[in-house]
Amino acid sequence: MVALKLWAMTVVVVAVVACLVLFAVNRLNKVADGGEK
Amino acid sequence: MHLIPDTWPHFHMLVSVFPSVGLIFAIGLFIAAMVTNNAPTQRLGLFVFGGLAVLGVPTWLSGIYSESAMTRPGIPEGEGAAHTFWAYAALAFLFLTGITALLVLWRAIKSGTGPSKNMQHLTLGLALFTLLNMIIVGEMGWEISHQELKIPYVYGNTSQVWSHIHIIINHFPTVGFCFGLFFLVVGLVQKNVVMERSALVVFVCCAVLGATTYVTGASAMWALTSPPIPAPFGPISQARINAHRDFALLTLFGLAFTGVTAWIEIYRYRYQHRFSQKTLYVVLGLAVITFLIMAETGHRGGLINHPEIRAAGDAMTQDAATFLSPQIEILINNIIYFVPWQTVHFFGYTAVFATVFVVSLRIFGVWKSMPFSAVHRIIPLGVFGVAANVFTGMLMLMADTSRYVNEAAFWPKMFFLPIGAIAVLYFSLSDRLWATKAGESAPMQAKWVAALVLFSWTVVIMGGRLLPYLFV
Repeated sequence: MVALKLWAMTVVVVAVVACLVLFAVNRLNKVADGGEK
Repeated sequence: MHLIPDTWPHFHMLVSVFPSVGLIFAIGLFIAAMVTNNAPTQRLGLFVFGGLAVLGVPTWLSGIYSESAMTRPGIPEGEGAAHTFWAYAALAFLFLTGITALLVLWRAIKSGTGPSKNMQHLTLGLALFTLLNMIIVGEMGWEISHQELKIPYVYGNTSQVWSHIHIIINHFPTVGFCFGLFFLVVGLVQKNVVMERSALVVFVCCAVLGATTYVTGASAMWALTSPPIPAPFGPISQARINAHRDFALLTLFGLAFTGVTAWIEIYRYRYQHRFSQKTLYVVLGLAVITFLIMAETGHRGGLINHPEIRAAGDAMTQDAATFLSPQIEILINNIIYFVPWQTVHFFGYTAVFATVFVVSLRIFGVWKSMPFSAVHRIIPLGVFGVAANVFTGMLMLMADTSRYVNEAAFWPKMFFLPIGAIAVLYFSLSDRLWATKAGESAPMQAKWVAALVLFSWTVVIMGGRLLPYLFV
């Protein structure tokens, strides 16, 4: 049960952080394209 | 809490950091103004030198009045004599620098241009010499009240070197933010890009140094409490330390948000040749909030081992467990919380190293078919990697501070972390590097910086991996 909980927590935390980073990187890519004011 | 000083030693401690630590930021601004040949920023730099010389007067007077307060038990007879001697030399050079700067400023305003190259070099030379004196004076100054720094290292204990470094480095984010805010406000009013950019660079550097400050602070806690410092300088109250580090944690978040937002504007400027006014005001707001939190953090830090600044009305709980930091420590020791953040930390440093490796290889001459501006686009990935790792690294550190800080691989990791993070700024600031087109070689200067960055991050990652295996 602990192993399952550990997997679940790890996947959720990594997924949330990855989404935040991808969102920010995408926004900055638009800034570099000159599109984001 | 009493942030406004009501005793001479308290006032002296507050004001004296400006002509010493503040001088570093003033010199940094002046060098930026010289490199960019920006006359308004050169004039601002001269004005700041003059202002610091004026602040030398209250520093001097409060120092004289503080001598009578050096009656705290444990301070050896004549301890302040060397500090006083060097202080007069440093103040004399500070006044000379200030007067020269104001004269040069007056001539520059009269002629309607910036100061001549010779006058710039003269002022900078005097400021650098003053800084050298200030370093000596500062070192002797804080050793007066911090006799605990002289406790020799005993195998198995945490070294007082950590406390010593913490006392020095914690002034950089606080004083740096005063200067950053000043540069940003003047830059916004005068619509001067160099001043605005200088302010952003100051915020990013302070954010990076904030992480080092937090880590050295956590180490200092163990150096001061395990084993307890003997009387008359101890024992140090764990409750006071916890009150300080709870706010230090908030400061770290404030610094991270301000630093990353400031860096985004530095990044934007490279591509759009302008800042977003809206984001600059967001940076200003974040910096003000962070500065206020930092002021309280600094005050609480001072209260730990400066009974002379404790006011009678200061209420302080003696229960060390009532604070937030000990509760986070208990929580993060549970593997259900530790392992997910550790996993994010590993992903974070792969992002950082991949970014640094790719950018450095282009600078060294690999993938020459790409202009540097194209490779520069990958840098946000590294910056977010650093931000994620500062957050996760602090959490992991809190799980077992005492063990981490006493590992042989920890200090090189912490030494090269700020160097690697600050040197990366060069990639976004250098106009010569930015102008490297497809097929062209990067400037030699950039290759040296890339080597430093690559080396620093290699040591940081290797240091982290070796932590569990290399004991002091």
